[in-house]
Amino acid sequence: MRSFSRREFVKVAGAGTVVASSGLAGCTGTGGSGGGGGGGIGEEITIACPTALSGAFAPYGEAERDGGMLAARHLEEEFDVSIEIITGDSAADPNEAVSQIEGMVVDDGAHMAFGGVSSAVGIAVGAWGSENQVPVCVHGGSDDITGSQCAPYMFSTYMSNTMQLGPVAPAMADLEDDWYILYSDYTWGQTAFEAYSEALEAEGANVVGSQAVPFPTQEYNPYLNSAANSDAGGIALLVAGLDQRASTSQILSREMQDDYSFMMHQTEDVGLWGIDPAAAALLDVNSQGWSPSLDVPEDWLQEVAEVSDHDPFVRHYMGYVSVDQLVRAAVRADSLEGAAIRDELSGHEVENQTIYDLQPSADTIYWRAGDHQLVQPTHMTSGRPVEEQQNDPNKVWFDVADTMSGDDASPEPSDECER
Amino acid sequence: MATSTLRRLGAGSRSTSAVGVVIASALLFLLTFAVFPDLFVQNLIGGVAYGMVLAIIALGLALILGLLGVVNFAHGGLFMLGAYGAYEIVVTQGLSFWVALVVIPIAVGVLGVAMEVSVLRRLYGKNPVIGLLATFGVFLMIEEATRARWGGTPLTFDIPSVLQGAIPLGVGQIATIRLLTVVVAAFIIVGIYSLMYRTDFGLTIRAGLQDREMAEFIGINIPMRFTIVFFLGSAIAGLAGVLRGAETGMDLSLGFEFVLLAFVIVIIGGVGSIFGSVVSGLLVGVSVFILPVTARALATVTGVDALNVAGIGGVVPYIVMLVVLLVRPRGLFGEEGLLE
Amino acid sequence: MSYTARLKRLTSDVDLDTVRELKVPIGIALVAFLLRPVLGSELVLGTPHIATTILIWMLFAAAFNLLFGYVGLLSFGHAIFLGTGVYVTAIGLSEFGLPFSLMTVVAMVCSGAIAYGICRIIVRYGEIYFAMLTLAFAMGVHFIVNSNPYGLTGGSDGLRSGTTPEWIGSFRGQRVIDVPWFADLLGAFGLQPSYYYFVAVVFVVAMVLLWQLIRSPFGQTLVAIRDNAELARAMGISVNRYKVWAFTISGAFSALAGALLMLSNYGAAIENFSPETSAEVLLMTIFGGANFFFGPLVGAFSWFGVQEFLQSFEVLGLPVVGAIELSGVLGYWRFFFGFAFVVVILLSPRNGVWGYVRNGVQNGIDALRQRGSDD
Repeated sequence: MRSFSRREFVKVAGAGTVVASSGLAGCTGTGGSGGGGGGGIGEEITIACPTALSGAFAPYGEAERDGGMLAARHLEEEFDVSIEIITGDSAADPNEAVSQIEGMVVDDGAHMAFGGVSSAVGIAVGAWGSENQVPVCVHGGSDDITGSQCAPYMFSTYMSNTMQLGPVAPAMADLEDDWYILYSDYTWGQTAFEAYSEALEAEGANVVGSQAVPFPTQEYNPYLNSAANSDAGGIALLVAGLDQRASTSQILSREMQDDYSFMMHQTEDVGLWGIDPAAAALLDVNSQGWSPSLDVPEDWLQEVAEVSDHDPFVRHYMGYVSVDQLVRAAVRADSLEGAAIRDELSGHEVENQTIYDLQPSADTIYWRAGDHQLVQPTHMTSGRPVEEQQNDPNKVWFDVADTMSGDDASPEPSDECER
Repeated sequence: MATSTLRRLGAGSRSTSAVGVVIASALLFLLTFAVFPDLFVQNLIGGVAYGMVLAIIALGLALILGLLGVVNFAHGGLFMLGAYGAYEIVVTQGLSFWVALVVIPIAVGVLGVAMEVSVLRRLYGKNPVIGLLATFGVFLMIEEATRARWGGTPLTFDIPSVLQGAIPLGVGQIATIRLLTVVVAAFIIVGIYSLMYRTDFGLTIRAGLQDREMAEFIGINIPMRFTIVFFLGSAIAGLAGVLRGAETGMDLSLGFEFVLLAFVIVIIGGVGSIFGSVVSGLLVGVSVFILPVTARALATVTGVDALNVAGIGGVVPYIVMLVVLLVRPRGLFGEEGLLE
Repeated sequence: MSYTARLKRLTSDVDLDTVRELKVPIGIALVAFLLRPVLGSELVLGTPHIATTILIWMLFAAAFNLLFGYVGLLSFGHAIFLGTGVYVTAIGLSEFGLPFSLMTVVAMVCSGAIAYGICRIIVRYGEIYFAMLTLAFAMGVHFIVNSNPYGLTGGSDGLRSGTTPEWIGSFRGQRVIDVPWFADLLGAFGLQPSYYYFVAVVFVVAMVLLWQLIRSPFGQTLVAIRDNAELARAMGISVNRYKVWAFTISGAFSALAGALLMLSNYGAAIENFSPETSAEVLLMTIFGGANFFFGPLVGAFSWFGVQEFLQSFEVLGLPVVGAIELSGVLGYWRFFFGFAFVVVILLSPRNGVWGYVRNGVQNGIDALRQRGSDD
């Protein structure tokens, strides 16, 4: 006699403890029986979270899940609904992510999905969702998500690379005339490189050289040599993951930090990579989608800290917004049918005050109908000197130096998105 | 050792192509130097330093492979444990880095011996692929145990202030910690070479390799000697891990990444040759630094932009392996009959 | 009514000897058609959807084992051929709008050609050098695909849109083959026309072909080469030529598996070319048993099945002891997997799990027979 559960079921009501329950094989419905043709949300809302829960990216995935859990708790208090979030470990592999979401929809009856740490996973899950009429909120930054790979059931909660460089490129051009760009050699880095080159040239600065750095790499010395050998005054580090640590630690060990201006793309996760606080301090100008150093409510940060093992950072924000928006769309549509939820979400203007508290903005935050991008403000940060860095109650190593509205950062959808 | 191998592989078309490759490489290097002189020198020095780091990582593997005929995939796991063990000592126990530098290699060596006695002893003399697979299983176990004990998030620890910063050289500079690694590597290489070729102990080991039965017949305790060699190889892996952890920190992918690279280096150097793996480590290190610059130089000179292949640094070790094996089918100094 | 009984009815002069002779194709058919129902039952796992993935990897592992088990050539780069199958079909469908069946054939030919080319270069090298060279080629291919030549491969994003042919419809994970005659055929057996049965049919055909190949003089020559290449050469067999052709065929069948995998995964991902993929197929083949035809199949089943099983376990309710909370320990299931692997290698290196089980069963039957004849 044994009992086993299909996936890690997380009951949100209460303190978010993990409870084992038997499989929901009976719950799978084919042919859209969940909503019953507009007959209301009669059952528990099941949300799938296919994300990295093992390997180097596990902290990201766990934070996404935890943010989603918090949102579900708030939603259960506000509306008369019951929400269940189930997770599946994608290990940052797109094939595995597709297999996980398929399992969660087929075997466990998930109605919608969110999460996925990398753009490749996001695109894979979004494509699956579009073929199977399941709305998905993805968390990648590649321009392709709202560009050439955009898909009808995929929604991008996170700013694209192009949006992120909005406030940053002018600041870079002000700081230095000549920049050398090092970028990770995969689509995220490649699209970032193209976007930054174009923007810098438009602002009147020069890109004097660039190097594609194989991803992942631990040896940055040859690339730093090339950068040092050029005439650049500034070095742009469009690198991801552990490379952020490797590059900055080797800059520090070569004592280069005072000789150049440094820029890094998407510094929100930097605190996680076992990085030296001095490494954060050397980064002068950075792009960051969301930061706890924005003027955000303390109690939200506190709730996140209670629910999650990790200090609040952008992935919590993304998980929270995705689950919040998906469920609200289902409530407005009064249905759990994928098509109905998608139609409600597409073009919707966010009304939830909590999100405006988290992303202070004078403009409306909305889901653009053309490419399903959540149009929201983006920020430029700079690293605090080590003495001024905050470590309690949570890590705040960067100051927000500038903010640009979403509409300015991305005036219109990319031409490549044809749906 | 090297000359007899050369003779066995014979002269003829092989050595002509080898000479051709050497001349082509020299020309490419000269071209690079001509187009980017400062960068070339900086990268040459950096490449040699990096090559020594690679050599010390590969040395333990080469020792075990060349002397015991065992393909030890768990070498990567021991390397990783060296780094995490140093973290344990410096951060959790609060002791000095120098303590870790001495204690951890010994601890990892002991662990390696435990592995040898329990698993690998049964595999001597069998098909080396079996050893590879068994040690892969051990590697998986080590990886998961590391994750269980220290978690999945990447870690770093502080190094003593004397090791921080950089030492300026004529052109460019070298991080002090990296210089330490290079010096330690040089000492280890010289030490191992002396042990194997200048002492009676080393003589008995090499005798046991050539003819185990006969060596045991005249009273040499071969199993103990093999265990000692395994201890040495594992301890070197642990030491390399400590230095690596100090320089760049550690994470769970460290083991797999470096064992793959170590294998490539050992193959390039030739299975069975310790000298070969040192030379090949330096060769790969220098190539990783210089080849991308060479590509740029070629593109600049010929005007063909496509020659400047983006991101080629990652595949350079494999390109070197391909080229070397095409002209020398057993690696630089490989011996006939080993793992064939 | 069981399938063997149906077969017997169809061919009335079938007797025990014929069944024994045909045990491999019968076994293949049983595996193909029973895997999903078995996995789907609550007693086993309750997760039918991984059955498709397992079948595809069984085919890939069998193609790999043609090389490793039957010729004795170790390859660390077989992901090249799986990936070629995945990407050629994906590019053909999404970029050029060509039919899937045509692209599968093209993929197999391409993959065979690449295999032929690579093996011609490296066939003369010693075992470990051969293996490392296949790895070098695999990393080279991975690099090329990542650099997105002519915008065809999608780089590290892969190819995700337009990769499903029109005759497959999906809704909320249920995939259905919208082809009338196929649906009717399956309906005759009482089966739903889901994608799984399409894969099962292709699987059975491919495996039977492989089996025939192994039984043929060609296959027997391969085994002779594995056992003693020098002797084979002395007998006048052109060893290298056979090795190259075995490599080519192995590559072609791997591409077939890749084509099926592309549909199953809804597209192409660069991870299909990764060294981890090459390592996985090697490991599951060894685990299952390289010396047997069914070894790789058992290995593929164990690999995915054990993973799924261990990840599903949360609480183990034993009758006397009570409920034991296992999720903490089983989060580290790879530790136990590694341990099991070491044990299997030490106990039965070439025969693997399947060989061990088979020998055990064989010995058991013999012992029973002995007891019976003693009485």
